Amino acid sequence: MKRSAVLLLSPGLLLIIVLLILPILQMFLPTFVGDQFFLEKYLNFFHSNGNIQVILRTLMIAVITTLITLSLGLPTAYWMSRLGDRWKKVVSIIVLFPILTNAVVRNFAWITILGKNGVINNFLMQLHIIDKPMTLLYTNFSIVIGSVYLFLPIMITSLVSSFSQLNFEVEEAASVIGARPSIVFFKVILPQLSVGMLTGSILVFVGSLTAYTTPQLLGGNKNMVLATLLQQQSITLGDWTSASVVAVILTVIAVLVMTIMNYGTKLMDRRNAK
Amino acid sequence: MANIEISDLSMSYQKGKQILDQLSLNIKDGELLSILGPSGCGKTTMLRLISGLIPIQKGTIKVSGKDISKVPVYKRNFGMVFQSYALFPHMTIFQNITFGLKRRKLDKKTIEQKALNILDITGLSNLKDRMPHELSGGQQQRVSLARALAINPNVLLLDEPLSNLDAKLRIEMREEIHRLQQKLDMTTIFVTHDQEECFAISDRVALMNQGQIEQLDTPQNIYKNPRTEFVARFIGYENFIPKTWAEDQQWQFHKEITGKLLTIRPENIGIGTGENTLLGKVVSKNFLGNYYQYIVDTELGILKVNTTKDQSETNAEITLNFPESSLIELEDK
Repeated sequence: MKRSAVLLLSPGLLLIIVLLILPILQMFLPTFVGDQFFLEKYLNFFHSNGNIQVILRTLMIAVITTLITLSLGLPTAYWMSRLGDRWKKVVSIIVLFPILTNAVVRNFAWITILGKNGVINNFLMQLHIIDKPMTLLYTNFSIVIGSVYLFLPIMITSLVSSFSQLNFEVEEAASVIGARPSIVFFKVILPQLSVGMLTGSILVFVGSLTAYTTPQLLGGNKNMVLATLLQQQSITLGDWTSASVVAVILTVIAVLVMTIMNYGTKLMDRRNAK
Repeated sequence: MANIEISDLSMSYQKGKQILDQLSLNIKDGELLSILGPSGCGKTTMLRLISGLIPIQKGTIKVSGKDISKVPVYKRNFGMVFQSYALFPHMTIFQNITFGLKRRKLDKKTIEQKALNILDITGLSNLKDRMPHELSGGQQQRVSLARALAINPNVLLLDEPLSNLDAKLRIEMREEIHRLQQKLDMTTIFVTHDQEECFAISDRVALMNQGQIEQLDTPQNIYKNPRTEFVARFIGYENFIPKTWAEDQQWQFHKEITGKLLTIRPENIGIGTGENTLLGKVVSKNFLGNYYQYIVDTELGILKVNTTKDQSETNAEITLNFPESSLIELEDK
């Protein structure tokens, strides 16, 4: 039995080893080779202020995107969970619809909206609210807007599933024995949503941490994040080892954040398990 | 503690469906009043109106003489137990019970004392650090009751609290509710669709139908003297006799019959000759433990006759008698 299992597994296993694990090792290992010290390349990377800024910008965009999608997603999901079955389906389709279009196309849409000659600037100028166009595109702001637009459906979907598990009688029980609406929300509803909020946050955070298209198209070359830095090092400069260093850092951050948040989810899950 | 006066309470949804229709009801201080009725009769709506979970459209509700129509739900100081238990899933049993107390301006020590006291009364002390999902249905409902009682409410509202429990637990739990209600002398409204559990513990029963109270009385009186056909059918009367038919049969009545319909309990129909007889054919005979039930096909349709003695066989012709003292006349509606 054991032998047949190995046999059945081997084609897939071989494929993964040859096409995934080996290339990863080939990519990662050279980054740990230095003239004096095996972490030399990493020390050099962190020596540059520009690089530190890129890491901080990447983290900041991911955190802000997560917080905004969370705060926009909560009321939307709450409203959706109270809809009748038919309307819930209709709204779910509307929410998920943007995911069906290509990310590049969606980002170009934002370029035409946010650009110097874009919809917003033209509109405000015609109303004479501003005299010259504002710089909206190619800023951290435009990256965040694009990312929020990209990830909001994912956040809403994970929140809706957790809202739909709520028992409305539990809220009613709380208010009958003396909890005003704000207390009901913060002490009864929110804690029960913690699992959904964490799941959604992990997906959005890691997603925007590693996103490439949106920061590239909406951030321009001045506002680099780790993913665009990686692209520049490898494709533009052809410095594959430096690019690998960025890749390792990105992977470590993503895995670290996921582990911490997963642990948090498990803690909450154990408390809320039904 | 508190008495409740409900007057002219009406409630309808947009589509014009009348849920409650000018309903008036007084509940005495310390009384356990049941609201009994089929699903859709408006009993849960009424309880939710009293609790404040839905706003009053028409009519007033007074508690101890004070109009509470404008008082928000969280200021009414009521306790409520739900069919689904509705415990806070993310809190321990102890936290569930102290939740209501913490909303009142009490110091920590008093809160703990009160919670421990109610845990003791309800026999939950050894479960206080557990989470709700670790408890059985019966235990969860007990916690739900304890949580409602912990705040020392003016009124206890029970919304079908036993429906999710199995038969044996249901009896145990209703005794528990009754014991606590008596011990704390708590004005209690108990909504149910189960006649037996309601009769067992209630001081009075309000039997509801289509948004109105059909009969309000003690369980004994409702059982012995159902006022209308609806009440009679709901509490298990199955044999109905139109008055005009009885007169055509020249049945003897010593008092005047005003209603159009008479009814009789299966165990009060006699087998053999006697006063007011009717011939029938036994369709089937069922042995039900402490009595036999005969299904008899008569001119009036199928009648059910319960008797302790085995008196006849299937397909036999038998004579049934209907003593006047056991015939109950029903009001027209």
